[in-house]
Amino acid sequence: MSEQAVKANPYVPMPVTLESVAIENDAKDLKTFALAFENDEDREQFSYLPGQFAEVSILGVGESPFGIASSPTEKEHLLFTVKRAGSVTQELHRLDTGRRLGVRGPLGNSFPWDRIAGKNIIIVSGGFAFTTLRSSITYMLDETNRDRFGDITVLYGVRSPGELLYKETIAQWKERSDIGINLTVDREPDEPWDGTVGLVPNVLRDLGPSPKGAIVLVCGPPIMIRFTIPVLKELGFGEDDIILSLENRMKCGIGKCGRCNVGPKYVCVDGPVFTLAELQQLPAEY
Amino acid sequence: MSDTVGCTIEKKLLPTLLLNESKHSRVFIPKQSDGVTEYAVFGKGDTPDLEAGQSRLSPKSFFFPQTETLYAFDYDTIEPSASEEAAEAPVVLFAVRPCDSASFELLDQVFGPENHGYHDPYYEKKRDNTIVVTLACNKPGSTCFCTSVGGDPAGTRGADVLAFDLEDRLYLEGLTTKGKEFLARNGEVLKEAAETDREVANTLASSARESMPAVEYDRATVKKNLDDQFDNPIWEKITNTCIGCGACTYLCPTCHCFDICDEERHYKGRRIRTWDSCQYAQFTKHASGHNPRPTKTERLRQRFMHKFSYTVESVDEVYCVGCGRCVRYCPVNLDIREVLREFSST
Amino acid sequence: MEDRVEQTSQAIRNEARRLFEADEIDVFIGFESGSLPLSSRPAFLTAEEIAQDPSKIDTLVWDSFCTSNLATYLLRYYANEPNRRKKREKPYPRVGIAVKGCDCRSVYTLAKERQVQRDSLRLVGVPCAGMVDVRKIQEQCADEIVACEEVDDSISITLRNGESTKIDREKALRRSCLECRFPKPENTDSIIDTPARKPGDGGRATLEAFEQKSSDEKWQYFSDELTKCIRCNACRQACPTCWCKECFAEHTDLKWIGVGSDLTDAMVFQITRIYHQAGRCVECDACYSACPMGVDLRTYTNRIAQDVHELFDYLPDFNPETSPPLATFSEADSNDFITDPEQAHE
Repeated sequence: MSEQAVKANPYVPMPVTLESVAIENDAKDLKTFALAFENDEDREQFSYLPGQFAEVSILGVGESPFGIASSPTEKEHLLFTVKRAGSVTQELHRLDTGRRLGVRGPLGNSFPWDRIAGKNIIIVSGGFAFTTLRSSITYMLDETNRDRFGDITVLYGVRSPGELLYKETIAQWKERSDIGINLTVDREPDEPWDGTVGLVPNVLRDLGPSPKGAIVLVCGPPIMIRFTIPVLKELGFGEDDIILSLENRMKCGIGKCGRCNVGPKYVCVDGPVFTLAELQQLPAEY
Repeated sequence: MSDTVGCTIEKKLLPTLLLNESKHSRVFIPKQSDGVTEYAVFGKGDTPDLEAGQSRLSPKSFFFPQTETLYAFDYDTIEPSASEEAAEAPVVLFAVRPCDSASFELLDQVFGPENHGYHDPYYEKKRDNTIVVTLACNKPGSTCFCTSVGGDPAGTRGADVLAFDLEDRLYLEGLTTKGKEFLARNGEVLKEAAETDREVANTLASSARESMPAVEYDRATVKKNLDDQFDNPIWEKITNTCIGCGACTYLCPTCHCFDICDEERHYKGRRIRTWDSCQYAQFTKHASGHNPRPTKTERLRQRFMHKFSYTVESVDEVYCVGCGRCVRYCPVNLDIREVLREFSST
Repeated sequence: MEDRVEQTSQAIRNEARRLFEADEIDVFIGFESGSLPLSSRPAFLTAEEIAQDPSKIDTLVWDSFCTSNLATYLLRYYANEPNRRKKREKPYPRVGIAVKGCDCRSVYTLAKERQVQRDSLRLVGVPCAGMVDVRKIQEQCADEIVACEEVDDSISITLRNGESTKIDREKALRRSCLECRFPKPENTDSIIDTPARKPGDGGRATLEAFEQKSSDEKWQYFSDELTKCIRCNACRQACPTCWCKECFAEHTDLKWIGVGSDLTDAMVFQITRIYHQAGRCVECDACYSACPMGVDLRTYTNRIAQDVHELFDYLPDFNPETSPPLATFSEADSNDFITDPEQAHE
């Protein structure tokens, strides 16, 4: 589908091929799907920034929105990490490589990269919401971008070591000196673990990042967010410098079907990324 | 009224005009059967029922049908849909009521590219291909409240041609380029209007206006109260009677929420969109089971917030045209006018 | 003698007042006058409200427009908290509820299905004179109805054009009410002293007449009726025994039917819904009264009820002890539908 055609009909997906599937966790309900565009013009047209999402289609089953886990600096594939839950995701988890799928996007805003540039970046995440942050970290660490950002500190918590996403990628990051990686698990694990033990908000407090010239990206389950925000405020982060990404049920992804609104804002077109200051103006319907 | 040159048509010549139009367009006229008014295809021998009043279902379905194929597919191709192509044939919607034609302009702002730059080719093609002939209401219904939400029984919003029923003839004004062309190409059955025709039309409009209930709802006040009282337990009380069906939203001319789903059989299928309703629990339910609007109270509040606060904020419009369908057909008489009154005190 | 409507309304008010004063209930569910002519709507009075303003009791009415089945509203008091997995910790509220024969039978059906707790309810039985079918009244009126008054057995109607007319109440009743076998509620905690209409034949005569039609005619009738359906779910939501947490029509994991306006989908929806009501439907016609499109569901709900009666000798009545056929079996159950495999091969 050409750029013009996509513009003319935003409901029609671009054909992609499922190139590889990686099981991410011990529970095997999280898999990362690597998709390759079939048409060169589609690949070029699909220019995105970390924080954006796309609708992935299995024709005959349906489509679902997922945050893009790859970085635009990784040219060859689009990555989506998907938890098995509803009808589309269950079917996705059953698919073999080589299957043709559809992608619509990129959709939504992104993390505010203009504002983030020049700042120290703190990333706080829990569970499988880490996907667009994988995109963000990869993006910032790319040699063409690294100079644009200050210190990068990552705090990533999961329930148990087996639930950690992107183990190999994270291991590579840990080798580097230009990023601080802090991993934590909720409870003392049975298996060997070289990270900390404790819940994300508590570990964050101990870590005590400075709010000075810093901006924080927070993605995680609602319960983690609820307890993390007070800690960030305690540490002195302003409401404009705390950036969150929302999830709501979506269908069209282009602000028309009417279901993902939070107050007057649609998560699909006005979000999914909002500052805490923005969210506090909205009802908590997410 | 504008300086448009009006014209008139004798009612007995209406079938001739509509027959002329039906040679190149699909023409829809109001018809009544079993006490239900609907827009039906005009055929030879038909006469539009101008006394039929408001249609049970809003004519939004001409542009936003309840079920619409987005595209057909098999495992290898994604074909543009048949319905998109069928929309190429022009349509004349004859005798649409002003509240309903006003709703078209509100829907334009959702489906059109001014909404974050995204086109909706299905909606837009049908809309571009349609001429809307609006018929002013001489006798507004008892549940009509268009004047309370910025409308008028002789409102021109969304209309290409505005018609007035002057008993034995219609007085017509072309409002848009499309509407003027429509009148120009039907010149042989039209007469230039006399000044008195326009005066009669004006008189009818003002007496219709006066017969409507007094405007008792102030847009800014209601918005402010809705915003300030989001957590007011009054919502639970209002919701008590609500049974959580979607009748109000399906009958509403401005409600436009939809679902997208696939129908598939033997490796061939189609992706369709269908009307959906914010009143249904499934509408916002996450795959995890979490629901941001878990009970009827939040869902009913959403319907009112959306129409009278959110859209005022986002596009400076109230998404209610005062047609009164939800008032009339709510199974438990949950009356939108009463809710507005509840949030109208200063 | 005092007018029936006023007398019944007053008796209900007295009983509700007594229940509040004796601290036997936290909520009372009855009817109040609606915002439209020919409509009374469910009303919810709380002990708190009544303590503040005892005159609120006087908003309760009981006339021929109380078409909702109030048992529908009981379900919410026994539901788990939304977005919580754990069972509720708060005690169930004590609810007083005015019940017609049909409402009362629904309460007993729900109690057997453990959807409500009988001992937390105070059933105020209202012997039923039948409720009107608003469509039957509208058919008799040439213009829009703007006001109505019910006195004993006639309903005075005022039309928009100023004319007024009197309608014989008996001729305007819903079919289900004319044919009702159980107009007088039983096994209630108290009963209002007002006459019930004579029990009807349960629709036997009407159904026999319908059965005379050919298969094609019956199919045509079913198709015509379901063509009107807009899938707004008003029927389902109005129905007290449609309480599935997730309706089969909304399953996405395993999709049974489409959600659009396709006729087959609408038919499958109603067939499945009504079959699922076998032995549970009390033929209250709440579904029919709620339908904004006027689909005749009575013919089908009536048929399933009669089938269950004939095959299993069961009618959902006021007896708390009997088991509905879908919840039990006996060796004497009709098994004509089971074919002998030996014979089937021959």
